[in-house]
Amino acid sequence: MIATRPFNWDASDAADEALYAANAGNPALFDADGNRKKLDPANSDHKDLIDEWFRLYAKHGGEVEDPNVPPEDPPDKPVKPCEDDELILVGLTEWIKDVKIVNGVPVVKKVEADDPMQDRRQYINGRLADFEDGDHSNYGRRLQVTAQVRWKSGKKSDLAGHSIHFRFEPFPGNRENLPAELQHSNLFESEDELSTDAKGFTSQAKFELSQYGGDRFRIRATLKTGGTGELVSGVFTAWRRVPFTVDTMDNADGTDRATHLLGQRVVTTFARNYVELVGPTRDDLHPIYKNVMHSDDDENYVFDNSLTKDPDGLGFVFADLVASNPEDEDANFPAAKYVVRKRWVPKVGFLAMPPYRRIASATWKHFSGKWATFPLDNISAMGHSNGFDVNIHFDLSGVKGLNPKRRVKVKLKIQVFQSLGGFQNHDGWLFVASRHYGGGHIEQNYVDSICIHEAGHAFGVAAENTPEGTKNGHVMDWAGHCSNGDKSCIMYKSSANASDFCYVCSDMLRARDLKSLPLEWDAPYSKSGET
Amino acid sequence: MMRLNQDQFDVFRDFARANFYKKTACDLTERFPVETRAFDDLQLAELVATAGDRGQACGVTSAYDIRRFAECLLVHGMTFPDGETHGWARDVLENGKMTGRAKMNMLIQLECFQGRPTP
Repeated sequence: MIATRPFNWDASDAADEALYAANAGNPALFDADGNRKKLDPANSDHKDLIDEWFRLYAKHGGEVEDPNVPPEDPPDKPVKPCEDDELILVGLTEWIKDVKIVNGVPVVKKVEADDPMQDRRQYINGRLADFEDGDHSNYGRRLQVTAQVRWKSGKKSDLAGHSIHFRFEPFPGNRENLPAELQHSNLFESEDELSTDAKGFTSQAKFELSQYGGDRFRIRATLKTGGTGELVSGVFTAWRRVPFTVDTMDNADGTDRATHLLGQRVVTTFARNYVELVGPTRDDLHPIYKNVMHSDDDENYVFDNSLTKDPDGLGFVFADLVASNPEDEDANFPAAKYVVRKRWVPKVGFLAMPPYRRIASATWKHFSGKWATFPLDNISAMGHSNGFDVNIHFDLSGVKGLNPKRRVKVKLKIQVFQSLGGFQNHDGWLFVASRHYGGGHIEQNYVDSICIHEAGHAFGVAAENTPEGTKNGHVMDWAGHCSNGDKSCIMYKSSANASDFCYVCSDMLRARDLKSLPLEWDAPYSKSGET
Repeated sequence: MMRLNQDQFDVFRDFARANFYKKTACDLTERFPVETRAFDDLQLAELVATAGDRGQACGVTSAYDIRRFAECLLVHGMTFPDGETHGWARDVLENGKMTGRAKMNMLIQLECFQGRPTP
């Protein structure tokens, strides 16, 4: 090997340093005082060192060539021997359509995308221009590639009309028996062969990945006429990418009321099912990218409708307590406003065991009188150790119109709340409790399980039907809970002991495209014809 | 098969040589944009022709090696190898025991190792 001009002096310096470092103490390179000696091409002791130097020079970016390859022909030799030329398949290029809005008008142009020879995740739920990073090629189920040929001699003519066969190869282990609209496909109009044009390019070969997280594919292009050669693309793996935001509940003084946030186990659990959670994606004044759920008074925390998230993503809201009032017709909270109540302590006696009860109102009357309001401040309740029996004490002093010498009837309205770990509101907002209604903090591991469970609902599991379209025999109720494995699935109604999806829910999750969230448990796996 | 007479062969030889000058000039322009800035196409072709003549005199005859000789003219000046500072190159080019290829290889190695301060 020998260097070509112009020399790369940076590579030369690097080669020097490497060579002398590797040959410390070598008398061919160092004198008796340890000073370096220059390499000398006329010195036979330096021959191997010079060869090594040129290898290092090349390694550090210098250009080299083999000086023995070029022939000894003079520049004016008019007759050149004929060479057998060869057609070579040189590469695959991926093209996508890039839609930009110019002066309010959508303009579509073809854009060269990422190198299809590299492995990558293909986010099958993505659409063009969905993400700001401008990297569009790995979004969507569709792949579009062209192949290129050239002559080995560099000849520019006779490049048209050569056939290249394309094959879209699924890997062993891909999901079988998917319905047609979820399967992978070639999108050729005719046979799987395309011909080259005058510049050596084929038209676009189009393929579609399956809609199943974890399925893998690659493209094989084979030259059929005029030469030999085969190219194999990188591996395309079907994934779904879902952005999320994080909101937390603050006290009125700005301190955090929520004590937990999204744990890494949530991210890794969904990654095992080929869902890449990306976020938090919001940036605001808080240092860890959280928006804030404000309190309107000391008791009620009202969901602020100005909070925003990606319309097709998830919004995790970490609250203090989460409870539902079964008396409300819509126990899952109306869409416009959500109230997450903190427990009413210490105003009235708190009854510690679930279901949680509160004295909502009290009225009193004398025997033949009319019912009147009995002030709640005059009632105190003491719970027994079993949590259910209660002694209630009524302080009759100061109640206007009440004659303590006469018999008094008091009617209590008891409000019962069901404590929840979390819920989703069908707009992609997921509420997660930090504390039990009974008082103690919920452990981080269980908070993570709540996040996974609620996100599972938003992703359409446990689904009514399997990907094949048969009924899911493990679904418990209309809310999309799973009874598989004796409560061991994280989508069980009460998921205290479960940490992961069962194999049935995992299968359904992997078959969801997750394009438009949230999904209902009975949502179909695809709209017919949509990719 | 058609046979050519000497005159016809000479025409083809001149054509091939002119083609070589032009192609080498383009190659030099691409790889040495700074050094060739002051040259027009004709001047560059003449530089290559000069490299050919001087190379021939030193036993450097192949198209590949004449191209490398032309690089020397570009990098070391049009007086190469006759300038005052070109003694190191003359010692090599006038060595009757070396082939033209070996001479041009040696010049590159001397430039890489001897032409700079001790590393």
